[in-house]
Amino acid sequence: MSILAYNGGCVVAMRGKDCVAIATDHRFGVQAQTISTDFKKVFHIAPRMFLGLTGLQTDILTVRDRLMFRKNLYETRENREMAPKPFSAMLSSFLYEHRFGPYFIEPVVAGLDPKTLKPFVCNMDLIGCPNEPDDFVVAGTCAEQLYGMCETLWKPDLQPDQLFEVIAQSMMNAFDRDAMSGWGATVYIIEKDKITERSLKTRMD
Amino acid sequence: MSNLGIEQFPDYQVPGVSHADFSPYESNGGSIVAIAGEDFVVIAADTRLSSGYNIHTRKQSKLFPLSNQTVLASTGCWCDTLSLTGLMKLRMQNYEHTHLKTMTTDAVAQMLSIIMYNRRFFPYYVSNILAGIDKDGKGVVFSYDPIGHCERATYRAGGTAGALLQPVLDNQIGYKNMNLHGEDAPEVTKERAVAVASDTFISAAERDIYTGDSVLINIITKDGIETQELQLRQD
Amino acid sequence: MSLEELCGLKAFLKTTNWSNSMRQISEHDFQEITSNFNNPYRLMAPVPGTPDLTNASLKIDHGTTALGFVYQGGIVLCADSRSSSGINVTTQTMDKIVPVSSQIVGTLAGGSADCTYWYRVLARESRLHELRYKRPMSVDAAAKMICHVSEMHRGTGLNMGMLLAGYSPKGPSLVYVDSDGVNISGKRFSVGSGASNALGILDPMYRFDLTDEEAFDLALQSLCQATLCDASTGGMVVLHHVGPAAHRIVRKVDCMELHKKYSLDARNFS
Repeated sequence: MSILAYNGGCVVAMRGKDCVAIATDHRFGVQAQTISTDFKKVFHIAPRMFLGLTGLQTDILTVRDRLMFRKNLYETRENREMAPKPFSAMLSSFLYEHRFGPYFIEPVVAGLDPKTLKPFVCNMDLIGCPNEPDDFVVAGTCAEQLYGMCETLWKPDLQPDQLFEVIAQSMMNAFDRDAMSGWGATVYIIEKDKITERSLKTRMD
Repeated sequence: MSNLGIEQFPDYQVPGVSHADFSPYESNGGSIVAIAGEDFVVIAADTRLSSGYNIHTRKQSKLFPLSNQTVLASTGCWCDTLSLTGLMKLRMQNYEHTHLKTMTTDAVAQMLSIIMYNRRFFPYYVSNILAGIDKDGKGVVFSYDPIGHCERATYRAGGTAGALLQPVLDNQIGYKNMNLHGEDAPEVTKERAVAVASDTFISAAERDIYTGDSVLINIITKDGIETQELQLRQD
Repeated sequence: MSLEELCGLKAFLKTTNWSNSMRQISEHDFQEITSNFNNPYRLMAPVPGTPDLTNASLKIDHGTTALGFVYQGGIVLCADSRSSSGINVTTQTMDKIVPVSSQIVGTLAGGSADCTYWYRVLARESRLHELRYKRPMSVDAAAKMICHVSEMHRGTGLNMGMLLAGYSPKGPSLVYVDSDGVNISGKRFSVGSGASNALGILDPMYRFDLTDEEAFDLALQSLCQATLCDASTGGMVVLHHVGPAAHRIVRKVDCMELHKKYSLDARNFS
């Protein structure tokens, strides 16, 4: 089993009309054994930006802490909020610094630009090759299943409530076919004036 | 013990010594989707045959009609597919000549499982889905793992894009994770089955490099097999 | 076909020319390539040398947790219904409790194809036994047969873990057999990847003098725990009861229903 699939888990982010959504499952396991069912892999790092990290749990926590440090340093120096795009660039170069001894994570960034309020989603591989599509990004053990679901259900310019429905259905049906993810899910919808957090009741097997 | 075939076993898998002498398998790609309804079954497969980043042909049907009530779709290692389907046809012909009747879909399903298990220690590297009309006139789908575990289902996706398509079918055909407000899931119609099968292939062609070119759809009813074709991305 | 020749398989498929092969194939060759139709124990031998089978063996379906115990009212068998290949869930609706004969019921864990194939062979053997000796095959005899199969295929990667349950005039018997050739008769067992999770509930709560309802409840709760804690266990939970006269399915319930009932934090999900 790949080290990226050691703890299980998945994250997906999608663009809508003037909004973005990011969803995470709740499982933290060691191979087949589920240890806890309240580990959210998505972190709120700026008022309109979320970072999702899947992969090895120890690296998820380390990368989150190190990125928070760098982001805070940036904000202190520049005295302005960090936008998703420069944050992704920073994350990418941070991961590439460890090119030959990488952190075993796959990151997903989702947010609205603080100035233009343009939706932004981005994902990377474990050494920081960025990918910024205009539809959706997926990461984690059920990436394949998520691609299939998102490709079928997603369409451009979804309203926040439609986007919630699409991301929730994609997430739940995808991880029901994956043994290593699931056990509950949380969806965050980011709009210009509010962030909605909703817990999904899902299968617990 | 000679009748048990035990004398044929060479020393095998000595712990600590594992070195592959040769790689007998190749993945030639391709995906299958099958959806069964009350009195029909729809089975679809793409027509791209590839290996690695090369495309061998864009027009290879992966559907093998075994009788006018049963179709076998098979992807994976193409030479194994040919060998297996050839053997299936031979066995079915033999049955027809011996018993003067065509094998039912259920019987074909069991036979395929046993044929595949015969090669337990050197498996056919194939992903099989068998679709047909069973003895009660209902549509059925049987899916297989490479060593012949057979499972009866109502819908199934297989092949290289199987993992992408299975949750879509769970959602669109099985109504999983849908709030039906206490009502039963609506029964799948022939038109909807064909539409969902086509849509899933359009999605798969976007993300799976081994799936594309066109889809062949076979619709099996008690009157026989009807064939449709749908163009997909060619890249 | 050419691949099989490359691999030195001429002994099994004596085909020299593809275009003629299917027409000229002799009756003997035909029997040879489907040898297990005549003798189910006669599987095709592995090829000489060590082929790289990683691609194929990764995709083999595996089933998971099953448990069984003997109590004053008979034997309870309980199993989940998930089958997975690697980390992908292939099906959530697999039948893992198989009636072998009118007297014997078995559960399966490990390679699904291995278990179903050898259960089919066992069912055939037990029927032949009934016809030959005019009495049903005993559970011990059935276990011995599986044990022989395991011994025959030692080191070939066969993967099975079975619980066989049944009644004989001497009383109930429950036997555990697996592909290592282990064959133990006992009072309570749990098999598969979620076995240790299930035993965590089953072991401390088990008593011989459980009532029927208590026994069913204990089995369901143990299995529910396994579905929750083990990634490759899940789907429907099926509960069988084997009594002196007959065996029957007691319950078949989605593990989410059980989870609502037994989970400590069920309030958060209802």
